[in-house]
Amino acid sequence: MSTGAHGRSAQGKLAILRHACQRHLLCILLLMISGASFGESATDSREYQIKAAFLYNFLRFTEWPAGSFTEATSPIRVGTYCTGPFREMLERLVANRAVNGRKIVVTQLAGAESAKSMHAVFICANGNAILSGIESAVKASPVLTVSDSDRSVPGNACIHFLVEAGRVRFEINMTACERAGLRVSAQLQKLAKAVHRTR
Amino acid sequence: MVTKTQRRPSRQILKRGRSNAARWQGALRRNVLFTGIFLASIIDAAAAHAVDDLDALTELSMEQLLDLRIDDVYSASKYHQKVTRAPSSVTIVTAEQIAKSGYRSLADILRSVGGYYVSDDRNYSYVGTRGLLRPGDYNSRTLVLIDGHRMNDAVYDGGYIAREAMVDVDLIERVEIIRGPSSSIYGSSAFFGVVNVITRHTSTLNGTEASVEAGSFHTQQQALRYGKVFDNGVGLTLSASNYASAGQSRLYYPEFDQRISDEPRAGNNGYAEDSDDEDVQNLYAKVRAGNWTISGFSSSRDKLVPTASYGAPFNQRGENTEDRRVALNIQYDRTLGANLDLSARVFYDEFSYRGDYPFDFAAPGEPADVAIGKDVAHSESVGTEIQLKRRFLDRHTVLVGAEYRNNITQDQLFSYVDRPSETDTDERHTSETLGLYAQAEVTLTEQLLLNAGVRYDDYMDSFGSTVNPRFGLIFNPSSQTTIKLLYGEAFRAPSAYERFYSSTQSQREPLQPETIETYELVAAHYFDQRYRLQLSAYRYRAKGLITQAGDEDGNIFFVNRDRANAQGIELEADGKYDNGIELRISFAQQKTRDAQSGQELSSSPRQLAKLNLLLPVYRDKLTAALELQYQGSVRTITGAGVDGFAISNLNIVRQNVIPGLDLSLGIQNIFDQTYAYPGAEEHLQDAISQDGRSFRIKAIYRF
Repeated sequence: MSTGAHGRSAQGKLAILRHACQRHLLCILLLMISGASFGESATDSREYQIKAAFLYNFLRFTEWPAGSFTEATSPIRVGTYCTGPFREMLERLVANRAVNGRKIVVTQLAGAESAKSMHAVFICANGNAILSGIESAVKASPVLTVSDSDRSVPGNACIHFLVEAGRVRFEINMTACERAGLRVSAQLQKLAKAVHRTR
Repeated sequence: MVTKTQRRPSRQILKRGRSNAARWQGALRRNVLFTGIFLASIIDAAAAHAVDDLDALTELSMEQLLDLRIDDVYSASKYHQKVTRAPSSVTIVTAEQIAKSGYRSLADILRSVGGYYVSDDRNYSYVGTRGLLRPGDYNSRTLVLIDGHRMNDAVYDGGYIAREAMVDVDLIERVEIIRGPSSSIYGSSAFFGVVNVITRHTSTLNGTEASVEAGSFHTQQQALRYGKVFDNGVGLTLSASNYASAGQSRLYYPEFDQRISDEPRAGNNGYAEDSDDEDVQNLYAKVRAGNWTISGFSSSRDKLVPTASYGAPFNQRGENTEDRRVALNIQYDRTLGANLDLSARVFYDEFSYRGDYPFDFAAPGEPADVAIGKDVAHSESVGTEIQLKRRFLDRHTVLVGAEYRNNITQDQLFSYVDRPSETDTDERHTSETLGLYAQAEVTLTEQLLLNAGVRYDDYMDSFGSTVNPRFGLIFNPSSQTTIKLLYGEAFRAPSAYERFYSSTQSQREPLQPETIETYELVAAHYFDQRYRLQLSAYRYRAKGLITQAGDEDGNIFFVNRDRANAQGIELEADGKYDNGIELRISFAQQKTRDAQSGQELSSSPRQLAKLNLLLPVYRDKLTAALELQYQGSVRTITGAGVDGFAISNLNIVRQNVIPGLDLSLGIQNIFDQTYAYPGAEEHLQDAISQDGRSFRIKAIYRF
């Protein structure tokens, strides 16, 4: 403790402070042990706005296998697995836009299984825990999988975001795209930071 | 570091004259007029293409999207927000700019930022902003953070910006520079500004990086960095580096040239030989798993002091300092609901400084009788911070937080070896502080945003409590244009050094916090989403600045005395052109004065101008970065002048010589310009000359 040369009822205040501190620590501890979930926030940030715009472009430059859509005007169903308001933002961004005459419908994925009924899924960095589950659920289904920047191992998603030098970049895993029966346009491949194949 | 204030003769106190308020008012009026015209013209331009932000993004081609900067800032509000919504004037320097420009330290990075300047006394570096750089201030009025961890130490409140205690530049993802007061969210030291150094994301490191460099003055550095995100999502970053520089082999100080100086310590024709040595080791580690981030940083730095400061014998290689630092953080981030985010952390910090200050006690003409003064400072702090962010109705954001810090050690010792004395310093203290803060970002209309924040700080072992607000009214007439009207108050608590180091301090009035009140107008406009123009006009009033004073008996102590005003305008423009050329320019016109004397403050250049050009010489294989920096003349603490100067630097990077290998060549001060920074009270030199032309080659290999 300070020698309190200019003391101002130091003892009383100290007691209050100690209590306050104990309460905070308790609070933090409680919150910390109350179950693991997904961290990271700010999915409405500029970074995610730009990623949303990229997602819209990925839809434009991808060709799904015949039979993926029931009708010529069936919507493209996009599932997101993110905490925070990313889905709302993507929804707003694509609200009045169509790709080859198809509207875009955005839904929040409830779990890995629901990904199978989508045409594209985007798993935010804070959803990494479910990524491998989704990847195995949609294996060989015509689903464009897009994983987020916080995972340097590209995993098995068809497209993977990176953030480099304050700008958004992406990589393409051709093996994953081909397994899903998707054709990713040459232009998209040209703009990718890397195009590679896994086993 | 600072020291033995009681023992050295005080310099003459600046002669105080009458104020010249009339001239100031005239200058202010002109500035306001200029600002008004400028604002009117950009509002006009912006109205022409007002489009929704998100919509604008879908209109862009993918090439253009790849070019967009993530103009996001974290440090202004402790959460990610667009720069255009932040209640401050903000500049961001990215890893790419750092690598291409060949910056060697955070000090180099700050030198490139509009309105910032850095001075160097060949031991420590000092940051100036908006004309304010207080002599003897170890940057206690600028809050320096590494990933949000307060780096200002708990003895001097110093925020170190060169190699004293800072991660390697190659480990920096971005540096966020927040101008103006931010005590409403950070508490003490966020007085003139906040500099938050954000370390690289594990995913951008992605592998191993080895770098070696060598340069003039026998300088060399080796570093190894490793980053990997494992399949289970756990991320690991490791970095280690070693820096060694012999420094200038011969430094000439006319004040110590016995042929032209009366100084009793003068000798060797004024040359300090082989006394500029610096050695630095850094370690950094970060583990990220799920909601948890654990990080640790440690640094160790030894420096020989060539300037014979604090009365040390000249050219004896005996004066030296060592700084050690450890910073640990455990952070937990979690989204509790769609609109509720929690962030909590606990931290530990250790600062350890030792300085050897030889002093010759012999009377003139008698044989030398040198004793080494041992100056020691040591602090250890633990603390915790918890914060909750909530978004309401998708329009408003509220942040509340609490920060508790316990400085469990704040020790300062000074004595001469084998010469105990009554005036030896042996001060061992502890202290606790509590801060509670809240900030609300309220969307009043689609175009108008109100940002209001306030923080309560309790320094129960010292002066008590203080409350500091900040308000910003932010007008976005279009997504490309922002106008911010800002008001802020901030404080800096008296440091343990100021409160206890001087033996006679306890007989004085208890020190109170320094305070500042600021008004600022910021206007920014984005053209085509790729070019940015920003103009700021500001007015600062600082009161109760803690200043060294002396009495008739030669005792030196600290008092809340000085008042200072600063005002000025800053212009910043940057952009990236289609041909890959990137340009950043800035200009600052600033004026400061001591409120009592009306005189200009020392170390306060009236003009700063900077130009940074990144030039892709051959595709993305070869880049050249050209940098020009102009700093106007300044007054020294004795009232003399130091000339202004213009420095040019060039850095050439050859990328992927073989895959993964980058080579670069840097030339600092190309034209070998002679220039100097003002000295402080502890220096006999009124101005301390800086390095001439120097070279550096560097190789980075990624695998």
